[in-house]
Amino acid sequence: MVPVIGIRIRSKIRELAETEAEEEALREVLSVVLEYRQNVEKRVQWKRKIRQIIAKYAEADEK
Amino acid sequence: MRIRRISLRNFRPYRSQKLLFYREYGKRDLFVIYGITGKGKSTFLDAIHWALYGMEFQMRGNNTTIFNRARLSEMKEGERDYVEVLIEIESDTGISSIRRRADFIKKEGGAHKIAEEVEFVDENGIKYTDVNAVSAKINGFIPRRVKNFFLMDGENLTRRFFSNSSRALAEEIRDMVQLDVVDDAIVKLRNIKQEKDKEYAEGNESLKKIMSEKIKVEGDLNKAKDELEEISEEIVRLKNEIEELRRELTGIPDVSQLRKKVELLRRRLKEKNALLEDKIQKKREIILKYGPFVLFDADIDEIIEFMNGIEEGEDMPVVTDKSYLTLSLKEGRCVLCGHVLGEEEKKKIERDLEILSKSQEIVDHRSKLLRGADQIRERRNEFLIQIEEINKDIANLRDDISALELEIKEIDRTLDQFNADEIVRKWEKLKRDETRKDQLIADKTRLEAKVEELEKEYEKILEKIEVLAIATEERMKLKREIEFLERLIKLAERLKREVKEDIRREIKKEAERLFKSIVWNPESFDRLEVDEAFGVKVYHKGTNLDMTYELSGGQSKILTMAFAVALHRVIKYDSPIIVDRPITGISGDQLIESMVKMFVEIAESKQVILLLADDELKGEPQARLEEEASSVWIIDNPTGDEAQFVPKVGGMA
Repeated sequence: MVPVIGIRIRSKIRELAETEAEEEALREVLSVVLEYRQNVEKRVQWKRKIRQIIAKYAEADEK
Repeated sequence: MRIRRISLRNFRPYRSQKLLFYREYGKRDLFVIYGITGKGKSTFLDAIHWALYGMEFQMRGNNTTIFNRARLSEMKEGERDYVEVLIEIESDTGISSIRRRADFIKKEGGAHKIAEEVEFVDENGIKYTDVNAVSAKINGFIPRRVKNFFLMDGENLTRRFFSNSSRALAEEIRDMVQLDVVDDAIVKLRNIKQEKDKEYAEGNESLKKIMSEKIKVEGDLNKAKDELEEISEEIVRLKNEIEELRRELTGIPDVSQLRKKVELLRRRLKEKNALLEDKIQKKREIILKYGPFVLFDADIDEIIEFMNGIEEGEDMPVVTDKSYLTLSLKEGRCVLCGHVLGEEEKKKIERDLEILSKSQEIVDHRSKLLRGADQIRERRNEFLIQIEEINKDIANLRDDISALELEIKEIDRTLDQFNADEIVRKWEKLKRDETRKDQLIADKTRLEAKVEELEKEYEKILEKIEVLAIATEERMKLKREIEFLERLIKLAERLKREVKEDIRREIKKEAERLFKSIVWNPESFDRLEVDEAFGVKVYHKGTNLDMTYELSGGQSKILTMAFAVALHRVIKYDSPIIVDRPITGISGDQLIESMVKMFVEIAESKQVILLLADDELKGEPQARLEEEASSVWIIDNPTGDEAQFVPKVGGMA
């Protein structure tokens, strides 16, 4: 299950983000980091995942 | 989350006690426990603290023991028993429990701990005994680093409380609202950005390199093409000139060649003439070797046959048995000279004959000849073969000479016919042009190969550039990603700052509200501030000076509790607040009433357990508190070692 970032952070991201892509991307990045921190034994490939998120939303943001 | 039940066994004065924290309908989640000082009120807080963290809340000497003294006195030496505190926690998902047990043995009259264990049983009945796992679970209930905001000792709620707690509090707040995750995300995003910056810089170098290669090859190719074009034009020009010259020189011999040829022919003519002379001389020698011939019974045919062996104008001396004759060929006719001998010739013949007659060799030869006509004929035939052969050679030579002379004559005539120098110049130019043209064609072939090679190289570079063009798209994408990353990092940094600021502001607002509702005195206080490190300050209204350190003990306690409650509300902790002696040190009915009001208010949404000294609260505030509380107990402990919870209002023990 993908860990969920708290409502306070999520609301704040929505408030501060200038675009939807920014909002979605940061939320997903935080989820990856949280998952990584919570699964100490089974390391999440955070770098690959964050790179994918950036690629996806940078393009979406451009459009 | 709230405490549902606490069970105590042999923990200090509590031999065997159970408290059920049941929230009565229409009441607050508020529980009050009264106790005379020293009878086990603070020890109750110790018991909860020990169950959670394996140590008591109060600092006591090392020689004290948690083991119940009454039970110890009953035990025999070497007998074992244990101390146990069980806390049942109720939440939306079910009931979990924390149980800590320490085994003791009685030795030399004292209780010696021999073992200790702790376990956590979650809502699903799963039991955890590993210390780290249990700690994690307990931290989910009451976080250890900020436990002082949950388990509060009224005696210690002074201004030093914040200086001891603010750092841990800042960390706790950061973790509770997941700012630690944001921090980590910022580090990771920066790390990825750094890598992407590097990738971008490397791509730039490759582009520069390939473009410089392209410029170089393009330059070489254009140069070779220009050169090729020049050569091609030169070749065409030369071809035209050559064609023109050829047209001009059509039917005109190459005089220099003719000159060379005529010289060669003359040399050959000379050689042939010399050879002819040589042959003629050789023939003479043959004639002299075999002649003069003596012919017997010679008939005219034989004479004619002889005549065939001589040349025009040549004389053949012939001796017969009757006469001496000279045969000669004149204008193709055989002339027998003997018939027309003049005086001189006669004399010559006489001399010859005389010589011949005197010549023993001739005589012998004649005699020999006379001996057999066959031998003579054989010799004659041998002569004729040789003569015939040499005659043939001579005839051939003469034919050759005639042909040569004719050819020379023809060439001489041709040479006389043309303007020799002009023709020579034109022919030479034609030859030069043709040589130059051949050279140019060779150069052209070489250049064409070079152009082909350069074009291939250029094609390859274009392919590379095409790849780079794709790479350029990739680079644009990379650039977009880098820019996006920068924005994301800024967003995360701002998020961190603003969330922290929001929390600080919210805590400030709530703490100020609570503080104001209790102790606010418009004459003295201006405002309450929470700094970035979550330290609390109160400012004087008139001077605007920080008067936090001038607060009385009671005011400090109110401030601390107001802050703790504000923290619980802002961070949304749902665990209980347990306060020992919250009112002690606070004077003034209004303040006490406000305090009670605050506890009643927060107990609406949160479990509050208050441990009060028996004389701590009186009158109306006490009545109000007890009215709102779900249960009120009094600790009954006449001996000091066997405390019991006696219900005062509701509640079960």
